[in-house]
Amino acid sequence: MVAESDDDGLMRQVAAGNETAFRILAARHLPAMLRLARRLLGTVDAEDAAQEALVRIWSNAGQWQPERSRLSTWIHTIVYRLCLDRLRQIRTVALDEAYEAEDESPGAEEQVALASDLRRLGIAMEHLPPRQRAALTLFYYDEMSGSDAAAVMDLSLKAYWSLLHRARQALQAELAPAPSTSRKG
Amino acid sequence: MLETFGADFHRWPADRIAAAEALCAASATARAARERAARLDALLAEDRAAETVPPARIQAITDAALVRIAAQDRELDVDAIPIWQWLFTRPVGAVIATAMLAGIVLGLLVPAGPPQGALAASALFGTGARSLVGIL
Repeated sequence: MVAESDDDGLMRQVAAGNETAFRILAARHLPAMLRLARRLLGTVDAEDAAQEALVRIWSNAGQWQPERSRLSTWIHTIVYRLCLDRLRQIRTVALDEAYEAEDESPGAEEQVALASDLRRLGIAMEHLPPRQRAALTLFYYDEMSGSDAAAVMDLSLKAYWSLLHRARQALQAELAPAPSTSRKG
Repeated sequence: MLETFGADFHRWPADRIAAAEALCAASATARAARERAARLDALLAEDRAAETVPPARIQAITDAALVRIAAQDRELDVDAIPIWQWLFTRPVGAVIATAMLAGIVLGLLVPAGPPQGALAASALFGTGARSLVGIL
């Protein structure tokens, strides 16, 4: 059995080939890995990319140095580079058009408004360049510090802040002109 | 600054927070700008909260990764064995090895006749030439 220890301890066990430790580690980090991959690749490719990232984590577990970077930063870097490689191959990312489900339960009006806002946000995100999407995801979704996010993206801190600024402005601009009414067919 | 770090001052660089708070206290325009930024922050937070991954999905992805890892390890095992053993571990290798063995056995069983070049030389120039061609 593997105690649910910290990332450092888990990684040592993963490097030694311990599958249970690997599963605990995956459960801990996969949601964030998937989030970043989804933002960059879309849902279907994201799962495959996350899977491949897990394989790389297993294969390179012995190379991670806790004194050099946090594990989450190291893992995000693997996912980010993998997604960029895939983006170079596929070039275009299909928009997810399956936005039909609407809830009729009590409080549904607010839910519908929120769902509508989230849809618009999703579409606005899709319109941003991949690096801007990654910058926003790392800072606002994964709540990384600027320096960690900059390390993941292999940027200087100043360049990362600049990218984040452009990304947020672009997102705001994408969201601004859209009408707030929800149409029902 | 709002358009980079959002409305939550806790996420701002420490040396800018006091000035930002003072500005918001003094200026209605600054407060309105912060409210606009807060609306986007809230939407991003809702989006984050909505993005849950079911545990079964996590498990499925991890299982699939472990299958890939096992396959990768098997490949590495095959790559690590000596070349002569590799010949017998894969169908193509087995076919090549069998063909080579069959060639050697046939070569040993079938009696070797004089080289054709030697026969032609002896017909033209006599047995001395035949020996010379045999040596060559």
